[in-house]
Amino acid sequence: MFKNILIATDGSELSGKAVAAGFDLARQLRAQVTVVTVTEPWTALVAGDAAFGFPIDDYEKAADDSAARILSGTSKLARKADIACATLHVKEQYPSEAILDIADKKACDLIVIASHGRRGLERLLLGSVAVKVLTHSRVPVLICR
Amino acid sequence: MYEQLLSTMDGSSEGDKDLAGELALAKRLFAKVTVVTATEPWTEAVPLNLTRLADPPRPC
Repeated sequence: MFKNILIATDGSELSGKAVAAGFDLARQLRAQVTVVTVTEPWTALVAGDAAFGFPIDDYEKAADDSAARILSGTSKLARKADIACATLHVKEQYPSEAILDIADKKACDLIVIASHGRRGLERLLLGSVAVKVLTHSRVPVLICR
Repeated sequence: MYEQLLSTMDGSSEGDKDLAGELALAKRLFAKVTVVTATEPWTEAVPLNLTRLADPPRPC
């Protein structure tokens, strides 16, 4: 059964549901967990004139702070639930690619991720990390809603 | 945690393998499993030129 679960989180409320579901599953299956949060490349978020208003140093610091906050929260939850949990912050990579990459490198046998359930134009423009992970993953994927 | 799992099957060997995994998961979670297989609508499964053969005769 699943022994090595990868949980992807962006710190959102919905991601919190995925973390909770992943931890519950890990506890019942006595599996170990890796929690990953990914920071997109600065260039993917900021383009053109906006770049002057949001320098790369500020972006990196904000991303580091945010990741540290997200991962310390999940570590605390894991300790409470008595789950073996490693945390990872992947920088400068697109989330779906980073999640699949980590799942491969860490030999994870299940990926747990939330879907934000975007619709219409928003989905077309922003895409869905969960759908990309589901499409390209070689291991089972649990999508939480 | 999860108490009701829905498992889908299409009769393929991959489906059989998945089912074994799903049953193992259900056992560990003490969950019930519903296995479902679906048949596509006849109109989508049969090519257009074949469906014409089955059309009712039209009045002249």
